[in-house]
Amino acid sequence: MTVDRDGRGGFDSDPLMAVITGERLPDAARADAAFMAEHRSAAADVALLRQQLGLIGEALTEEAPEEPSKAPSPPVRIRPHRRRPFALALGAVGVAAAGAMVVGLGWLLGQAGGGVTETSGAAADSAESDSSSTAGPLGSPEYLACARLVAEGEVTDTHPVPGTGEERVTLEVTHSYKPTRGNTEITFAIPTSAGLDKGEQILIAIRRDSATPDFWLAGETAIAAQRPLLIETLPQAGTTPCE
Amino acid sequence: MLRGKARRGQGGDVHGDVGDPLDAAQERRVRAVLALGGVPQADLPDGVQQVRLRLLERAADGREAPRDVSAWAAVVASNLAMDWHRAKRRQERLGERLASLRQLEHPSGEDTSLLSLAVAQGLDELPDAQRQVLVLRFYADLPVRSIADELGIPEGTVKSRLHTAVRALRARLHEDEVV
Repeated sequence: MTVDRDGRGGFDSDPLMAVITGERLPDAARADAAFMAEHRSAAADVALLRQQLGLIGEALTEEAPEEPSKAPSPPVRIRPHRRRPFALALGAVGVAAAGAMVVGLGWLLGQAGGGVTETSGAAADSAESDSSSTAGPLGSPEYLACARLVAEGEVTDTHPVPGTGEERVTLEVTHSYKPTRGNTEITFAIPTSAGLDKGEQILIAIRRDSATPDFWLAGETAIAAQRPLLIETLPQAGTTPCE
Repeated sequence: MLRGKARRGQGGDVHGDVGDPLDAAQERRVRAVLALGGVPQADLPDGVQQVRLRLLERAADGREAPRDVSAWAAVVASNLAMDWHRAKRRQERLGERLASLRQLEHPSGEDTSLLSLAVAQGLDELPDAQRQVLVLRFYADLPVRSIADELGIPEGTVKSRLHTAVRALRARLHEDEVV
């Protein structure tokens, strides 16, 4: 399937190639429903491929923790897991949001009013006191320094990935915080327990070397509560090393 | 000598310590690129040392530290994996290794593991040159233009290899009804 209304034709108008290069789609392509359907399908598969490369790379290189002083031992895990992101998130957010993580499998806020208010309030308070230890990840320059993507937008598509407990989500990006000029549409995998629906406003953060968000907010209320903190913290993240 | 020339790379600091020019995150990334390129587990430490050595040699030659150390290290690691294949005339079959690991961890099997196995076996079937650009693009997250510049090949060649590789992996996934 190629779009050739503007006479360009060729590789650049191929949906898969557009996904591979991450190029901005021309208006003619965006107006072509068939092209966009193929583009979404390709984006979903490529997102899955990214995720799997990360998992396979990790599985093939992971050292056994019980033998830290020896030469690397054969890895024993290929199951998707979020141990490091969770550990990082837990360290950044403190006790108040830890409950939300346990309940929501991640930083899912905004589905229930109580959780939103409580956690957003904690973030706002900590922003005042400039304490990243209780501000949550969006108030942590260290966390944001290690994020390759921080963006918000509208969920336009969700598809379950059989057998993985995850779903592939397509996000129409309305604002990309990092990078400041990112793709207008991105696709990623996320635990089904996140419960994201089409039309929902979300804000996500994806770490380097990862294809899966380890932090997300759902709902304009939750996002609005955290947005000022994010905007305030981002400049510091630019001068903070990712360690 | 490295201390004076080191500067912050995109993926983290270049350590001022001459003994370890790669930080922990960069080392993990290098190991993964090597492994995805088919370098056997037993040879991964040597591969990481090779990358360190290249970085130190670069500094010793008086050249400026790479602007993006993580990207530079990923490309060097991918080239090392290619060299490994030529020298050893063999490569680790990722699918076989993952299958053995899966038996260790999940004797009863698991769908997620099957998906990883399908992708790993797909990687095994790719020509080395395609697998190299695929890993650099979708694991190391390098832009197409950077891959072309670093490998010294035309951008169109990178695109073509990526297109062929991704198409093959997609076809394999759907043929196997994994997705």
